[in-house]
Amino acid sequence: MLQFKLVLLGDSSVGKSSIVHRFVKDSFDELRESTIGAAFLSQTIKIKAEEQEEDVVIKFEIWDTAGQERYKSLAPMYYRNANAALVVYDLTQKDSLVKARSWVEELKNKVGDEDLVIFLVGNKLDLCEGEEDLRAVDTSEAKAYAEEQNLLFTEVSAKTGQGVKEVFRSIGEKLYASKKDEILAKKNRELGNRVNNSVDINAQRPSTNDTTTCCS
Amino acid sequence: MSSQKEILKEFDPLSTNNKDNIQLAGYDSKGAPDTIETVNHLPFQTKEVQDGEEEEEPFFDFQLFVKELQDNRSEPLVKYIKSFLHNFVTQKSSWTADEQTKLVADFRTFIYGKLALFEPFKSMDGAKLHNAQEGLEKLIMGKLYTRCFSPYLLKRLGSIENLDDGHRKDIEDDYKLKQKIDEFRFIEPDYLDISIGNENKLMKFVKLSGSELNKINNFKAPRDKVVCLLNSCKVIFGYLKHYDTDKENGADSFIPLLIYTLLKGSIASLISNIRYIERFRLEAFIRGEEEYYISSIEAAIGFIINLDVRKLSIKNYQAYNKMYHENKVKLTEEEHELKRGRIKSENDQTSGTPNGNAAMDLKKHPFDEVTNSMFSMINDFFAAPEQSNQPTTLVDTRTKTSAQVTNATNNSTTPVDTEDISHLVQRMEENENQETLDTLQSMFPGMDKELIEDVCIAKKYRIGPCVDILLTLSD
Repeated sequence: MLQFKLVLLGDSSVGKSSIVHRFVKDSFDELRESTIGAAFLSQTIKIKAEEQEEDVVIKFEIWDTAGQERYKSLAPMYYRNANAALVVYDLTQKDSLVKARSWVEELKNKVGDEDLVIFLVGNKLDLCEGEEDLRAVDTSEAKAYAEEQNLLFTEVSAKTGQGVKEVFRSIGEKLYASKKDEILAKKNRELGNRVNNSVDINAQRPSTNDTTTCCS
Repeated sequence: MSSQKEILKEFDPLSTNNKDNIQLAGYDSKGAPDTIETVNHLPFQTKEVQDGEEEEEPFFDFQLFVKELQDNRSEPLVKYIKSFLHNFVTQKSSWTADEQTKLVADFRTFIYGKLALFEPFKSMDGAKLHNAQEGLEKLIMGKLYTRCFSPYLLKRLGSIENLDDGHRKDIEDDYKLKQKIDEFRFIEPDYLDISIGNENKLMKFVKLSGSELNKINNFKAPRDKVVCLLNSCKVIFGYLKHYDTDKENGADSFIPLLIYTLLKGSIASLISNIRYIERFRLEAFIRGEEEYYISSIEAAIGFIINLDVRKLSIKNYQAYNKMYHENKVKLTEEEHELKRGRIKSENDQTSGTPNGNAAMDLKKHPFDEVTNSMFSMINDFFAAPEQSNQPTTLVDTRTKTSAQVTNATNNSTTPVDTEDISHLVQRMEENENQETLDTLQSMFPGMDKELIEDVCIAKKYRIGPCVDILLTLSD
């Protein structure tokens, strides 16, 4: 199992926590355990990986942050060592995209590109349908920004679940792809170590065995 | 061998008391399969781990580990530990914080490696091996606590000038935090954007969360301290889950409430505690959720340290200013009173310390004293006469074993009355349980007393899980 840390960023009314709650609820049948805490959640999913016969199991540890402006300075405590960041804005609130952009900038400055998968997510898609369309941010605008910044991008609805699972699936796939070589190398190393260890233990065995016989 | 077991029994509190909360801070985070059936669970029961690397259940039984360590076959391990502890306390009167961290980390790597060589640890894996590793951490840090935890070290060295930079900074930061908390202790929930779902409940939960957090000073082992942090956070979570206006508000609700708890809880030496955990808790032991809550408390501390009027959400500045100044006046009065009190009771003040709290706190924890005497008994057991620090030859080992047994037998019958200790442990446990019961009853006044007690028994008086269940029942 691979474990990734994912941090949630975005203004306080954009529904970032709801996206994760939706994801965890909808994935309950997928695989065993999940944790639902006040602000920490974990969920495992399976993804199909190229060149692998078995599915890859990925566990997300999801760290929520406080979105209010006054708590902005606490965010670095949360995004350090993160593998992925979900930067969420509200499709019906123009301002929230501005906030999202400032998070993206901060992440790029403080964490660095190569280490972090950033996913820009527009929430409340359910409010942008039908006659009472409340959309305030055009898809094309956000998409262009995401492309320019090299971010993953999509629009979702935490309320209906539309697009939510796909967000996590594609983060999982992207992280797996970027870490694949590293993971395989580590696996090989571990295998190597195990062999070495058992040799070590064998080498020591005579003396330990003697101790046991002697004392019991 | 059998006499060895006898000795062990005497400092095993389980032999007189079947509850396993001698480790008190034992908790089950989530999904522990322990509903009612664990009431009479055997203390040595292990949990099946489905997946070796992914064992989620925090399984910990210190008594079990001590028993394992008493096994003759693990005697070399005992010698390594003894030798390390001996060197730690004798080679230098005080190590710097960095040196301590490195020494403990290095020894840990060494001794964890040795676990693979000696029975009964050699054949362990998964949860059992983890338990042994946890046990080692607790044993070592329990013995070194007074030299590693800054407020104790301060007491030992007498004055803050005698501390190295690292430990001194802990004490100074504790003082800074306390000053900030005093300055802003009057603020109302809405100054932090906390939505008040149910004010009465909110205050009770905040109080409970604070008192859970304050228990961090009752424990020596890094793990036990972490459990206090977690329990405190879980109480807040319990409130949010059941009373928050928007139940999916996540950190938007959680973080402000955590900050509010710290402001209202007057928690002693919080920063020293956090730094101690950072230094001596094995990083690999800190699991996802624990790490999240530790980071959150650090974030909350950071917020409070930098707190000023601009960080608050104030609707009525006039009212705010009035409260702010009234609090200032009150603080000055309290300070005077404290000074007068200090002059009166001329003795046992930690001279020159800004943080009297921590020093006073040292006296309030009889339970720890018991743990302490148990530790020292365990240590007496270790303390067989020895010529060399290394277990060299087999014959040597054997001789020492029998010497050790005799020695330990003598020790256990002489100075410490083990019967008394067992009773004391039991009595204090009962008191603690009664306290928990009282708190819960005041939080859930409409609920049947017996029902609350049943829940407590089922959850072994662990406050986090108890609150969780009671909330579900009261819905």
